[in-house]
Amino acid sequence: MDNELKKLIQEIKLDKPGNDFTTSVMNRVFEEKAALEKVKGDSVFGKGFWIILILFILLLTAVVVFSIEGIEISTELPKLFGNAPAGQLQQGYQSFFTNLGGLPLSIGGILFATSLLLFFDKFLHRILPNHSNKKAV
Amino acid sequence: MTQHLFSGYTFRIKIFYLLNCNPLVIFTSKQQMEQKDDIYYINKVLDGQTQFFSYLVEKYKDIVFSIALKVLRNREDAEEIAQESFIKAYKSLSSFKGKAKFSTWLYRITYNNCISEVRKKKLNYISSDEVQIPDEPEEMNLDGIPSENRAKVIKAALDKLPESEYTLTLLYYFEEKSIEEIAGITKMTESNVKVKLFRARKKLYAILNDMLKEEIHTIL
Repeated sequence: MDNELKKLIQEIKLDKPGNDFTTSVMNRVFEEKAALEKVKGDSVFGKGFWIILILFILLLTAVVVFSIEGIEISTELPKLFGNAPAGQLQQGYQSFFTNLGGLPLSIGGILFATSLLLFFDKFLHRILPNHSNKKAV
Repeated sequence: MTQHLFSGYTFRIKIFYLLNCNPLVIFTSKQQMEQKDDIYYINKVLDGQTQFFSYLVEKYKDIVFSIALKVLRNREDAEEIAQESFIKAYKSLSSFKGKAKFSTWLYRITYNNCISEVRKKKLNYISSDEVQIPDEPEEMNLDGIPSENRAKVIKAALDKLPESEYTLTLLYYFEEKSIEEIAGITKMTESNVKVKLFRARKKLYAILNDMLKEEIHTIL
């Protein structure tokens, strides 16, 4: 009986989707493939990441260099600014880096966190390309 | 499609006989051969020859669409979900390890997609408890169905089944999936699948009996 029913059911014609069903699916498949290849082609570290990283390194270097005691800056300043009053320049210069020296941790932290966020954003887009495609659709 | 594949299979059997080989040693069943074909095309797709995915779409589109149509009861939605299922399968193709049949894996994606869509749209579909099983004998004489429109009558009777029972019947009888495979697709327990299949068969016979009675009344 079961075999007889199976035979009968296998004779039925199933509902068919539209004629362009396969074409539509394949078009979407090719779109997916193209999007995936584009994401793969993009570098993990984008422009933004490198700019922020360079700024961060520059800032860090400046803070480290100018926070070391005994650096002779006074002799170089008059050469740079010619006739400008050297005393005032030196004072302003030192005051700028003294103030800057008070901020490095917070600024550095912000820059570092931003760099990390940018990196993770890029990284997630790379490993989850479908996620970004879905959002675009 | 099934007939086409089967004719391909018999053709290959003839070739093996001509080559004096025992085909049963090489291909034990039509399903195994289909699985081999599927894996061949899947590997092609994974190798970057995406166009071979169309073979899988062509092969399974009718059954995927039928399941979606039965659950969603709307052609447009069913086509959309059927397409989504194929896209999802394509995206996850690299995670398909070949432990289960590709068709089983694809139907699981389709079934899950349909259930998600039903939940999203908060569609009410007839649960099997709402349809009463008439107190009819389970078995009937299937020869009583006129041969000229037997397929149509069976199709019409199947369409009257609630969606879960329709899907189970289709997978078990049409697709020849095992109870274990159906349990995997629908996330039901094997015993639950068996019970539901029994109920579905009983309902199907009852529906067919009613249809035949109506036909006799019309003739008289």
